[in-house]
Amino acid sequence: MDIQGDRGQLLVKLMAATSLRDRWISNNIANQNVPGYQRRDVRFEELLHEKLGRHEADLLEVQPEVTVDTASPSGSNGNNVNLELETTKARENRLMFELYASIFQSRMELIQSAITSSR
Amino acid sequence: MIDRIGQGSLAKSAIEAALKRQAEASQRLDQRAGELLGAKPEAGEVQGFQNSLAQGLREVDGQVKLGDQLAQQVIEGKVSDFAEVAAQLKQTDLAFKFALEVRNKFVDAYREVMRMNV
Amino acid sequence: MSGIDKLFSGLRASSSALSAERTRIDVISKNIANAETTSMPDGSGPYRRQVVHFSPILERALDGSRSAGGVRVSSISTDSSTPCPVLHDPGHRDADPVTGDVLMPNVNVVSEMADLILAMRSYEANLNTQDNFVKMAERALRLAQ
Repeated sequence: MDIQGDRGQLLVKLMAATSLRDRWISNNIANQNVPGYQRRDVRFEELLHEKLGRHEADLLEVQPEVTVDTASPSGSNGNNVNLELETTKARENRLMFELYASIFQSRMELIQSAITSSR
Repeated sequence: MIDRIGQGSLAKSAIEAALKRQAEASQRLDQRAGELLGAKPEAGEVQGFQNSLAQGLREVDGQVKLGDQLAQQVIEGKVSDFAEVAAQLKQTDLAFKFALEVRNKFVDAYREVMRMNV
Repeated sequence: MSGIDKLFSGLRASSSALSAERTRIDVISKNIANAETTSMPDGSGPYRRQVVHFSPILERALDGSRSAGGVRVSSISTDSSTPCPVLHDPGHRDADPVTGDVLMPNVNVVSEMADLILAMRSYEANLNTQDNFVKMAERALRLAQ
C-alpha cells in the first residue's frame, strides 16, 4: 500500500537529490586547494522543470545529474572552486531541504489526521 | 587523525545487532499470527466478518513486515539516504495506522451485529 | 563499503579533507618552526622546506559512475627547487669559515603563513560541512516521527 502516493514519492526524490547535491558541494569544498580540480554541480529541479505539465509518474523517472563545471574561471593552479560561492550554495541547498521536508511532513500529518480522527 | 566514520565502531555493530534482533522477533510474531489466522470459521453467517477481520489482521502484519524489510535494506547497504529511510518509516507507520483503523471498524461492526442477535 | 556506512557517505569528503588539511597544517607549522634551523641533526645542512601534495579521491561506484570521495595527501616532498638564501654573518656558528656566509633554510615565513591561513580556512569550511550534513540528516529523521 503506497499511502503517500506519487506526490509524496516526488518529494522524497527531491530530498534525495538535495542530499546528493550537498555531497558534491562537500566534495568541492574538500578539494578547494587541489591543483586542477574542477567543481561539480548537481541538476535536478531544472530537469523536472523541463518536464513540467506532465503526469507525476513521468516526473518520477527524472534522475539527478552530476555535471563538471568547466565554465567557471580557475585560479593559477587550475582549481575553480570559490569557497564563498560553495558556502552560499550549501546554505541555499540546506534551506531547500528544509522546505521539501516541511512540505512532506505537513502532507503526512494531514493524511494521519484523516486516518485517525474518524469519529 | 579523523577515522573513517562508522568503521569498526562499537555503535555500528550495536545498531546492526539490534536491527537483526528486531527482524527475528517479528518473524516469531508472524508465525504466531499465522497460527491464529489458521483457525476455521464456525458458522456460515459469521464467516464474512471473520474473513474480513482476518484480512485486516493480515494487512497489519504485512505493514510490520515492510518495516523489517527496511531494517534489512539498511543493513545491506541498499539505502543511501536518510530522507528515504525516514519517509518509508513514516509511510509504514501511516499504513499500519490505516490498517488498524480498518480492523477496528470491522470489530466494532461485528460486535454491533452480535449484540443485535441476542 | 558495508551496509550502514552507505548512509554516511556524505560525510566522507569532509572527513577526508579534515585529515588532509590537518597534515598540511602540521607540515607548514614544522616549516615555520624550522625557518632558522641552519644545521640539521644529521649534518645535512640547513632545514629544507616540505610541501604537501593533495589529490582528489574519486571512487568508482559499482555502476561505473564516479562518486565524491574527498581528498587525500598523495605525498609529502622536500622542496629542492626553491634555493636556500645566503646570509652573510661571519659570527654565526654555522657560518662558512672562509666566506662568512650562512646557508639559510629555504622557508619564506610570510608565504608559509599565507598557506597556513588557507589551510585553516579550508579546515573550518569542512567542519561546517559536517555540521550541515548532521543537521540535514536529523531533519530527515524527524520525518519518521
